[in-house]
Amino acid sequence: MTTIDIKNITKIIKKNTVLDNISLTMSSGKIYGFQGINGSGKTMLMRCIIGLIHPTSGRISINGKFLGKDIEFPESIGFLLENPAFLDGYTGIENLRMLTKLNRNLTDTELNTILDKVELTDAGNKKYKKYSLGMKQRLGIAAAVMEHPDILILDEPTNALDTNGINIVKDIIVSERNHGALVIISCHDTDLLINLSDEIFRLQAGQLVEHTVKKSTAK
Amino acid sequence: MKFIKIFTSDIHNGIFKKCYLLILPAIMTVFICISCIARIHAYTNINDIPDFTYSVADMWLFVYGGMAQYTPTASEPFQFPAIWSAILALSSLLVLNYPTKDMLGIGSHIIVSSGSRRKWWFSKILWCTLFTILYHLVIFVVILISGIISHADLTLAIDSQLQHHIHELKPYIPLMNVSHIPVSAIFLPVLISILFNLIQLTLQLFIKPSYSFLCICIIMISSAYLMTPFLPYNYAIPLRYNWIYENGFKYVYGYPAVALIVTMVILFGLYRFKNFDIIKKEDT
Repeated sequence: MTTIDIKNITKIIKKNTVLDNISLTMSSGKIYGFQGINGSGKTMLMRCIIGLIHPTSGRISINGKFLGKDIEFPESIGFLLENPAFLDGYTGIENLRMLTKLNRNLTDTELNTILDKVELTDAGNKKYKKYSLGMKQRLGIAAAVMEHPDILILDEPTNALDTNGINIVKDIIVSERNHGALVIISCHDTDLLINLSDEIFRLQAGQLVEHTVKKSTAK
Repeated sequence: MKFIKIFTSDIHNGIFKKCYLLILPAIMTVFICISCIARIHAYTNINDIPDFTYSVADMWLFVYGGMAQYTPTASEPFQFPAIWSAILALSSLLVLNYPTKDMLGIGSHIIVSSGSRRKWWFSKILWCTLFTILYHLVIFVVILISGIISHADLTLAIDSQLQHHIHELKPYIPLMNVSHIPVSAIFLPVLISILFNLIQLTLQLFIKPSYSFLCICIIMISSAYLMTPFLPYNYAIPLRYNWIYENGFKYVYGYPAVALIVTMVILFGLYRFKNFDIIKKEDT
């Protein structure tokens, strides 16, 4: 069971308040949608949860451990933030292999299974620089989910994807949720976000303005 | 164990995959060595000493020597030591982009997976040090090969008169008659180069990489202009060391100075990186 507890976090960058006193709680087995226009603070909030940026004030705890104090980063997390970034000179599978070496050290068979899932089977041995935008996005999603992390954060996961790609991503997100992961997504496609998410947090100018719980998941 | 994996990936991505960059100092040194040999021949012709012998140390000092002390006067404009600064600035330029690019790209996944910013930072410190050593090793090897091809003595012997000529020093800047270059003097410019590349790496936690490179270049120019041990690039100018220049400073002090500043830079960088927001500048 994974719980993320965010208490009164504020982030000020160059005198600009990008997150303003946000508090929320999330737990595993659910999909949380972050909704808001560009610059509303979705990506910043995600970066804070990952531990890439430090809030100016407030605290984030994961399973009771304070981020930046007890732990520097969540212990089991996969993420895709905006545009995926891999090494151009490496093939898709080489990029995944390099990332997995640090933790679970997945076998090539396991990596190929992930590539199958995102329908990059044939492109696994192609250099990343030759990937189309959609293929890059699929590889980014593969990298985020390959180790089946407890926390999965996907910022605009459907960017540059065709209808088939969007359906694959939807299936992956639901599958990870069903396996007990805490999934956080943001997406400009409101219908998709509403359709996928169990709870939606709407952000506006760095503030959390609305929290909606889907009836089917509300206790 | 995770640190070793991060460092291995840095060696692979930042050295093996970028080893083609080391062709640049090699090519540059070839041209410098050709220029050096031409000047040596001019010296032997002027002084009519056809059986004159020079050493690879003479060639090394031409490459790394820098410039003698400059005294600002109205009649003598400041002449920047082009070869010396090209050698040191190129090393800073080649290590400029990899850490930031890595941090904002795939490295952000590596940092999070490692669970520790400290490991990533130390890995980059080691990578930067190793790349700089390799860079200077390439230069040393090219000097050695050029020396072998041009029949130079493979010794550390130095001819002060020759150095005076090939560096085009003013008559009022006498070099002492020294027989050999001390081994300890050879490694100091390399250490200073490592030091400034680490300073540049740390500066990137505050300012854009291009600005950090600019800062390093400004310190370099200032050091060439003003001979003072407080501008540490002076420790990378062997022509100002007291073993060859009477009014030079005790270069051996450079070693503890480098050790002290490197330690401070690493710790300061570590502290800064622990609190650093890993985010593109345009997103802020």
